[in-house]
Amino acid sequence: MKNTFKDIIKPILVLTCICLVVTGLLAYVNTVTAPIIEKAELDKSQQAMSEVLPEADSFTAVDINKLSDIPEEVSEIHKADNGAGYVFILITKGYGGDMKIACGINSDGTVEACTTLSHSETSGLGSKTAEDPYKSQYTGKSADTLNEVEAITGATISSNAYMSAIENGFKAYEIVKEAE
Amino acid sequence: MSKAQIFLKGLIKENPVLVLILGTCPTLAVSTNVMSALGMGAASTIVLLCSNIVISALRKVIPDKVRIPCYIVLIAGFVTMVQMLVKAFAPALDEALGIYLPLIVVNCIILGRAEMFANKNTVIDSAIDGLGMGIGFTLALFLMATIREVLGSGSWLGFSIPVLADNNISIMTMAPGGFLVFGILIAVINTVTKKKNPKTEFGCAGCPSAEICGKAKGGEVEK
Repeated sequence: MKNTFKDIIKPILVLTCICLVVTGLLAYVNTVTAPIIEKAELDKSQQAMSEVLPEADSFTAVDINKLSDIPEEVSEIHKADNGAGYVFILITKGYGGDMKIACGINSDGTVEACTTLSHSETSGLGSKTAEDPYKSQYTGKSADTLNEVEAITGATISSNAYMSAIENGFKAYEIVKEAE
Repeated sequence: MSKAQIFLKGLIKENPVLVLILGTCPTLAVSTNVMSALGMGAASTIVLLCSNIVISALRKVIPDKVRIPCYIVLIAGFVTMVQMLVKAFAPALDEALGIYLPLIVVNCIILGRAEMFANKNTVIDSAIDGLGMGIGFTLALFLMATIREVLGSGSWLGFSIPVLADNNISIMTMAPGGFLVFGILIAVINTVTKKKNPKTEFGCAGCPSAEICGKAKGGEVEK
């Protein structure tokens, strides 16, 4: 019976205690950092929206559930209140996970600018989709000239994912424009 | 072993990346640019330091049978905390490291030091060991990243270097370039430390950690 404690109960107790303590610490750190992270992300998406559509003064979210045939990759649509265009928040599957892209399409139907909000692409390869000169290639492209964008060497999957996200942005643009 | 020796061995003689050949995956992955290499090195050093201290402090409490799960829980806990803190206070670094930050959990260096050093040495020695190994890891990453970024992207720490920027060898930033630099650095370190073919036998005694492990003799594990 002596060994039962040493061999079975003690390991269980120690492991359980360690797990509890670590969980408690994590919960504490999370309560401290979660609001900061959330605020930073909100600021970032607001900033990104005005970055991709600089002419817009403020935005109103469009309820995408009311529109039919919106591509799955489109997660949010924000309409510029002064009619400068729309900002599409697109979530697409990249090489390392989801890529979240904000794309501003102006009232002429061309891309004003694009920016990546979050991604898990390979650092130094797929991550270049989030930087210039790749993303600035989209500026001024319309649905018809989109295929002129050059992909990044060594990051075909990331580049294709980016491209398909913007294509879906254009599809959603047509739908949302028609609905009005 | 004196405190200074414990600290210094992590830098060159038992450098975790170039001599112990641990943590190869993050090394190859994040050494494409100097900034991510330094960030990864710093994050790993913090986790290594914390996990070594705690594991050493608990070494008499943790039963042998469940030691690995205990270490993993502790290490994963520290990594997650570091990740949340980095996300909150240094979002740019979090983006640069991407998926490799949470993957510190499975970095062999950390579990390796817990198993080889922290669970049989005092808290202070373990802290020094963690710091030395962490800095050794950072130095190795820094060195590799410098070579790869300068040759591959023609820049250093993001500043572009005139002639090289127009003639970059982009394979250096990809996996094959990583392996190439890695192999050359290991060869250089072996020459510098004048090790004559350290792996004389394919066994435990040939392991660079045989000395600390103390269980190896003549290629066999001593029970």
